[in-house]
Amino acid sequence: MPALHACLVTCNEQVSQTVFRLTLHAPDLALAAAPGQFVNIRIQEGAVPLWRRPLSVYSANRDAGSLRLLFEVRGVGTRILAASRPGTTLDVLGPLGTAFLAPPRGALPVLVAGGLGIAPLHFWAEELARAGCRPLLLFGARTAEALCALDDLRRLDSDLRLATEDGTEGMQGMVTELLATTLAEQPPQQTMVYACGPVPMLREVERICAARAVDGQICLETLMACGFGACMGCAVAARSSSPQPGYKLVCKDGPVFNFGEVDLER
Amino acid sequence: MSADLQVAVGPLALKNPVLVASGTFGYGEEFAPYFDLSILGGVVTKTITLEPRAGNPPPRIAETTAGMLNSIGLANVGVEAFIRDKLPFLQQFSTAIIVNVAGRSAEEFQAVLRRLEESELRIDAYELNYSCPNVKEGGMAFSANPHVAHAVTSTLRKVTTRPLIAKLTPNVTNIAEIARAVAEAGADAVSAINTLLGMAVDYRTRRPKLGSIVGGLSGPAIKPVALAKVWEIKKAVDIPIIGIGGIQSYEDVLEFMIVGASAVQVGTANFVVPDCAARIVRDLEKYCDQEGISRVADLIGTLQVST
Repeated sequence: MPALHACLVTCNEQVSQTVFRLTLHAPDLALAAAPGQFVNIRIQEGAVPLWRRPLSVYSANRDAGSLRLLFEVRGVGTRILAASRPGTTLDVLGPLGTAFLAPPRGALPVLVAGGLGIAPLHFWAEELARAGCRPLLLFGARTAEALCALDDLRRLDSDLRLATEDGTEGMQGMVTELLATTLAEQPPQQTMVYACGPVPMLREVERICAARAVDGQICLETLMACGFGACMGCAVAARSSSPQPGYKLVCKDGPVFNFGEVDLER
Repeated sequence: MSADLQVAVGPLALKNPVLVASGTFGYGEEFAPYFDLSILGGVVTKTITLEPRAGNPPPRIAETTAGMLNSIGLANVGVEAFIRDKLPFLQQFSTAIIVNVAGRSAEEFQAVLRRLEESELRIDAYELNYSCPNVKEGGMAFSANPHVAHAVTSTLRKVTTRPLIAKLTPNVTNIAEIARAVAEAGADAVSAINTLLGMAVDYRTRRPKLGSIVGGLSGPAIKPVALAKVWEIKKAVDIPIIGIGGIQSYEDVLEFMIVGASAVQVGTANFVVPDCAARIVRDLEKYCDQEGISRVADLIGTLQVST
């Protein structure tokens, strides 16, 4: 059940030029949050910025009662959030949205992250590893600098493979090329793919997986005013054969969707 | 002793003047995790149309300075599913249920109202959404023309004896003229204002931020406009006014009431602080107690203006 939480910032680290990793003391949220879900943070009192900012849960430590979030400074809201010092209290709404579905028994979870798409997949990789289901984690970005939070990823019990477009780290190329190579080595029915990243990347992930009959899920991010289904602002086209499109709400029906559930072409 | 927060909006008795605005509160169920809806003076549901509507293509929202733009496009489940799946949920709360309705034509408006009238579930009033686009009269919104507003309201007046509240658009030259027209046609009250037409542009991509290019501006940014429109209407008509526009605190409620509103609706603030309207009710009661205001209704229209 989502709720409003007053959470103390305990740490706010800069992990790259534009990316920050925020740690909150949030025992209830740490207990309740599942990988794929997000929280919606009120940046400050007042009307500017007006909306909360939705951020995927990057990590939850139930024993320590802490929640970590990874975010990129993109505008006024995230700029203010980046300046939050330990001791600041943030108004956090959550956990919100749908979570990743566990892979079928015996299937290899293949996690495909593009850029900041690593945030929910890091949490998912943590949980899978905790459950004894060692994931294969494919992570791509433009440059080595943009492969953020590698320190955490290298500590995970996962098979981590990297790709950068400029070749400064890992394989030179797109993370989707890594995916295609990986799937070629793996029986489709024993694989479940989970992807988060830019929409063109997700489209390519769905295309590659469809060609090999591999099932999976994607995690989307969009602008949101409320985060819980009231404003209907975060609509995405649902896949349907009807010429009149229906929509799904990323905040409530997602952010995790099954392959083919939403139309990434529109 | 606790202050008396009761107000009357024509024949509609409210336990307090704090309602939640249509389109910002879903069908109520979205907010039930955050507070007991019975604390509210009333819930105005999302606009209901005859047939279900998917709404406009995304992007549908944009953040602006102290406000937001939307072009949701009246996405709703349609009147049948509303009666079957949504209205029963609201019955459990001791708060006024105000169903907001819209149609593309006067006939369609009537059909929605008739269908709701057939339902045996509790409905305390109707709010008529006169600002929807794509109406028969050359694409003009119902409340942009006093003759059309009068004609449609007269037609709907014949369908129901329940209170009718006409929700007016500020995107007109003379909102008072429209208020007079609907009052003459039998509306019990008006609510003002609906969103202001606005636009947001991304200078990097040189594209509009909304799929429909222009949309409705709401939030704290529009409060001064809303207060001015309530004031204009108050001077023109005797029927009660429900003030809407950027309300996010009990102070805002007091300002609207002093200017002439009998009640208010909290809108965009619900998205940011889901229990905002409940907090406002509690803060309003506390303020009245502290200030020795025994009846909040006594504040309505008490604006001091030098002559």
